Amino acid sequence: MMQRLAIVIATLALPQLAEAETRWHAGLNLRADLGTHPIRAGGGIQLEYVDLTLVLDPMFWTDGQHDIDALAFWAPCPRAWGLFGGWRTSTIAIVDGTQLHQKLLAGIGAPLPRLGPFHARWSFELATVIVKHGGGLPSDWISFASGRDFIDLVNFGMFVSLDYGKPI
Amino acid sequence: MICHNGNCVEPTKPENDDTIPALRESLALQIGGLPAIDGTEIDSFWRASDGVCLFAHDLDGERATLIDEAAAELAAHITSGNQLTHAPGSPFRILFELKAHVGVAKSERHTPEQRVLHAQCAWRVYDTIATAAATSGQNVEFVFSSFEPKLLADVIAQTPLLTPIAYKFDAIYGIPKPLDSETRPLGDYAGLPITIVEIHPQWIHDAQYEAILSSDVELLFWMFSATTETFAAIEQYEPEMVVTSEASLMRRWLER
Repeated sequence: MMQRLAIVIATLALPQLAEAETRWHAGLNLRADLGTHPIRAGGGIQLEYVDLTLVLDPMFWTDGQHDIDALAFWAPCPRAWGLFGGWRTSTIAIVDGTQLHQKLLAGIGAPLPRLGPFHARWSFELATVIVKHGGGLPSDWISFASGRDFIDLVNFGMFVSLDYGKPI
Repeated sequence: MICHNGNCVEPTKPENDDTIPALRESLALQIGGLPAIDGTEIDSFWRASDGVCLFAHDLDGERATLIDEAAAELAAHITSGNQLTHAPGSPFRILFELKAHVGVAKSERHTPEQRVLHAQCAWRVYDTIATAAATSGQNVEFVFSSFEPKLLADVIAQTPLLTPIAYKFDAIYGIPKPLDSETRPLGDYAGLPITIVEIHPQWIHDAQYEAILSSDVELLFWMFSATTETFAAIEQYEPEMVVTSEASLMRRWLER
C-alpha cells in the first residue's frame, strides 16, 4: 500500500519538479484586509524551491504610509503549498517625522490556477510588530508580560500575488 | 483623542495603567504647546474581597489606590486653569469605566448589592469632577462606560437629583468570545440610553459597524498599541473618538 502511495506521489510530483526552473517575476500584491495598502507591486526571482520577492508600495502617496516586504517562500515543488517568512517595514508619516514599524512575517501559501501568462498565489500571513521606532518617539519593543502588551501587535492577513514571469 | 487607562505616555507600559503617576504624566503631555489629549479614561474596580472601589485595571498586581485619589487628581487638573483639551472649546471627556468583574478572575462577577455600591462609587467620582468643573468654569463631560450592561443600569438607577455636568453612557466591545469573555452583544444594552459604542478596530466587522451606524451613536475606537491596521481602520471607519495608549504618536498621526 505504502509503495503504491509513493508511486502516486512521485508520479504527481515529477512533472512539477520538471517545471522547477529559475525565472524572474513581477506583478501585483493584492489584499482586502487592513495590514497594508490594498495594491502593492513586487518582483523577484523563483529558484528551484525558493521564491524570493520584494514588495513595494506605490500607494504611499495616498496617506504617507509605505509598506515594504522582503519575502522568502519555500515549497517542495512549484504547484505545492508552501511556507514563507519575511520582514515588513512600515513607514508611517506623522507630524515632523516618520515612525517605522518593523514586523516579522510568517505564513503559508498555495498556488492558484494560472491566469494565462500570470502565476497566482494565495497566502495567509501572521505579521508581528517587533519594534516601533523613529519620529522622535521612544522605541517600543514587543513584550509578552501581559496580553495588553502584545495583543494589538499580532495580526493575521491574507493576500494574493499575481505575477508575470520568464525563465532566466 | 482620549488617553487609555490614564496612561498614554510612550513607550507603552500597560503595567502602569490606572496609576496616579502615569495619570499625572499623561495629563501633562503637550504637543505644540497644547494638551496632547482631549480627555482620559480611568478604570474603577470594585474589589469584592474588602468592598473598596479602586483605581485599577485588574487585580493581577498589588493594587491599593482608591478611585477617590484619581478623582482628586483629575479635579486638580480641571481647576488648574490650564486649557484642558487639544481642540479649544471641546469638552474634556472623562471616560469612567466600571470594570465588570470583582476579583482576579473575570468570571467573578458583581452581586446585585455590589453593583449598587459600584454605581454609587461612580457617582461619587462624578460629583468630585462636577464640583471641580463648576468651580473652575471648565467644559467637562463625564461618560459612564462598561462591558456590563447591568452595571450601567444600576448607575442609571442611582442617578442623583443634581447632575451639574453632562454625562453619557458607553457600551464597550472588546475582543470577541471565546478569546475574551467580556464582550456582550449590543442587544444586551437594550433599554439603556447608550450614546457611545467603544470597539476595538482590529476586531470590528462590517455587520457590527453597520449596526453601530444604524443605532445613531458615536463610534469610539480603543486600542493598546497602534499599528498600521489601526491607522487604516481609523481612515476607513472614521470614528468620532480614539482611545489610545500612545498620545504623542496618535496626535501626530491625526494631524499629519
